[in-house]
Amino acid sequence: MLDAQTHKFLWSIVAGGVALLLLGLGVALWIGDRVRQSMRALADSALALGRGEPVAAVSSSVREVTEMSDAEQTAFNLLIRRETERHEAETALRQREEHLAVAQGVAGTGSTEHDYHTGKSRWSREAYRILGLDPAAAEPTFASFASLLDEKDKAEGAMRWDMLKGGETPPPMEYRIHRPDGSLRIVSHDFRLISDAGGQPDRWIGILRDVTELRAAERERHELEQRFLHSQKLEALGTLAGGIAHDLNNTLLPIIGLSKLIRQRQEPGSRDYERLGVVLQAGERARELVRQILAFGRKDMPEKTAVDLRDLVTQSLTLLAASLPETIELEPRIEQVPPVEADPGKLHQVLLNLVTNAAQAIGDKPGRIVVALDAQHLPADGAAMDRPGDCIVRLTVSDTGCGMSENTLQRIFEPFFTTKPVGLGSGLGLAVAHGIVTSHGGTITVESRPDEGSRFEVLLPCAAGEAE
Amino acid sequence: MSALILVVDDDPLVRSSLQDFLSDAGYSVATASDGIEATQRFKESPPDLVVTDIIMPEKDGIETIIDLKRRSPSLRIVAISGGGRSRSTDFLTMAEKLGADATLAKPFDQGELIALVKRLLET
Repeated sequence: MLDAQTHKFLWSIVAGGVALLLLGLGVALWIGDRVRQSMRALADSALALGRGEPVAAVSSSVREVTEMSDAEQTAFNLLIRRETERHEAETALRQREEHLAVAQGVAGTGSTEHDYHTGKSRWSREAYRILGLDPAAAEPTFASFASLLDEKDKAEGAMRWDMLKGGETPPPMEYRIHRPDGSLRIVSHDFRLISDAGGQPDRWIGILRDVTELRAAERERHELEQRFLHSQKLEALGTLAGGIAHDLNNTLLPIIGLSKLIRQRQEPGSRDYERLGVVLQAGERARELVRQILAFGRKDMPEKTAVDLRDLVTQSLTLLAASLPETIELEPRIEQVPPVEADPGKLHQVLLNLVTNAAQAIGDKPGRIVVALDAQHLPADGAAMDRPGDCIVRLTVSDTGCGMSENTLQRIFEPFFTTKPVGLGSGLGLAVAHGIVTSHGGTITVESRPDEGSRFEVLLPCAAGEAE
Repeated sequence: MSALILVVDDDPLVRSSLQDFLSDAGYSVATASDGIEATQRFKESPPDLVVTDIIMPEKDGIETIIDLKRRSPSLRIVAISGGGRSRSTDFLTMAEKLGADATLAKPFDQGELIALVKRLLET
């Protein structure tokens, strides 16, 4: 049996133990709660991090929790930086694309691209605009491009596309395309092939340009140059002709004058009388020639009045009809036209020269000469005369004669240029007509083909006040 | 006594032809090859009528017409020309405006010249 003192001692030990146990339990519970709270905060911040939201720092006495929280903070900062960088890169890329698109628009130059590996193609916005296609509706394929090509360029276009497919750079080419809106444009499409490290074709990039206006301007400049050269040439020849004519007239005076004087003393019908007749005829022909040379060389301002070309042409044709061979039919197609400021005598000369030329082109064969007169309004972009949009009167002389080759056409208005046998044409008639029309502020042009006849067109500005 | 006519032309062929035309028709003829010589001939023996070319070296026909008309306003003058070397001027029209009584474009024949000379000498 335990004595009471021992018993009491044992009880106090038990009670102390229980108390310690309870205390320990309480402490454990308290610590566990603190850890749980830290872990909860850590879990919350992890979830926020997952959502890309800011992460709050978790303060904890547990070292691992603090370390974990710091790691989360670092991860969040990294995430923010990456995000910022991505955003900046996207902005820069968008700006560059915008820059390229605007630059392409300003330059009128589009680009096309094809990837050999993916087989995918891409056309820039400007490329679509140049082709007149809707990016939402047209696939960036050769078929889309080919559907616009003019018939004449289809084969060449297909050949170049085949070269590209085979990894070859095709030579540059300009294509005529018909846009869906019906307009005809000229576009150039040049390619650059890009190879990979192994030398295999990786992709090609094409540069598409609308060169319609450029080509039109070049053509116009060329024509202006040609016209300028031509008029310079005529000017020089005119000066020369004026000088020659003066000296020839002096030379002809004794030939014609003295031949006549001597002939008057001869017995009419005698050999010498006849011979001097031939000398005189030759002299007269030369005199006529010189008269024409002077008409060509003289660029004095015509004495202009308001002329009704309808009357003038009708009267001139009546006179001309009498002198034409019966095998040639003269067909007037005369309309009412506004008056022109002109020298009537000189315009009569123009018509005479044109009809004579037409008759000589027809020769002995049966043929027809159509003389037409009508009024026109120049198109606003007309380059025929310096005053586009103005009222003009058009006189055309067409014949069914032998026509002219390209070479002859080039020189047709040059003085002394003739394709006719000696004695039939001086080569001045058309040069004179050209000079007269030009001095009236008009233009004269000709269309012709061998064996298909010729058509001369004279355009004269209407008298002031007639332009609309 | 027949009327005296002064022919002024720098071209000897024209000069001798005109001399021939006029003397054949019964006129007395003096000749000069330019305006300076023409003035001298005029001073030596004043003619009744002058036929002058326009384009000549030294002193041209226009100057000659002005000079002779100043010396003798009643003097009859015929200007003749083969057409201008300068393309913008019609010399015969100009000569007429500056005092020539009549003009003739070369080439002309004896008949045309004599008819004109006769008409001018009668008025």
